[in-house]
Amino acid sequence: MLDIVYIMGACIALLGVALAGIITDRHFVIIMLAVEVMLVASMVATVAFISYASDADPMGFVLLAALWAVAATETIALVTFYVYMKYRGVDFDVTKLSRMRW
Amino acid sequence: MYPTSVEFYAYAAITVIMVVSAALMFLQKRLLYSAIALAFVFAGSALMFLLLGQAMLALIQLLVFVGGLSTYLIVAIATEEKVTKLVSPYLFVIAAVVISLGLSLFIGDIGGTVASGGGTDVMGMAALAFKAYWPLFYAMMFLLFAATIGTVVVVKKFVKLVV
Repeated sequence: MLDIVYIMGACIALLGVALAGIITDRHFVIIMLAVEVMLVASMVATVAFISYASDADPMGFVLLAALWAVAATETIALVTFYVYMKYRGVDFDVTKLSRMRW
Repeated sequence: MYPTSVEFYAYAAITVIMVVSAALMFLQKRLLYSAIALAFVFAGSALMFLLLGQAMLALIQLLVFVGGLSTYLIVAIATEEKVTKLVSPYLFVIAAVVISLGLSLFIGDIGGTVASGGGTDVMGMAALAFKAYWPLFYAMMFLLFAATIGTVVVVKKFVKLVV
């Protein structure tokens, strides 16, 4: 089995790309997708720790299930916001968003 | 000294697919292509789970994220962007056939592995979900349920469905 350092390296690379995307992009949907990539990186890290631990704590699976639930909810919320903003004619540029209600 | 095993090359290929797809997500001009790139990141993570010996978790990741969420996201964005034609639809059919054949050739015993739990203690997970940590799992279910109902309400209000 590969050393866990390699898997962590992949997770950090993924996290770095997502963070760079959040910093450089101003589009609302892209930022939400970048958060999704960050959640994927944390899922891979969690599964790596579950696999490498000789006696894995059950909380690892609970954490993974929680990550799945949060990632799924985020995608659903993203589509909701996308439809809402599109039909309301709200700008997708996050720097132009100044209030929570339109 | 660098590792030279097949496992290492598989890991390197999966990592490259994931990182490049994540980068392409921001470099695309169209949202639809960004959503497709995210689907590749999800698929890469499922392959990484498989590499880690967690076939069951990989299957869940593939079914829920690639098959469910990515499709939902792509369809939602494609509907709003008024896409007339993406690339050739035949390209997707060919890609699906090649990926399926590749999976069946290289991971022939995946069915048996998944059936036996695929490195995951399925019964233990079920016991966690329904006995030890049931309030947490109910909270997750409520979260998803609330988000779904919210989407239905918003979409019903703003989108006029033509049947």
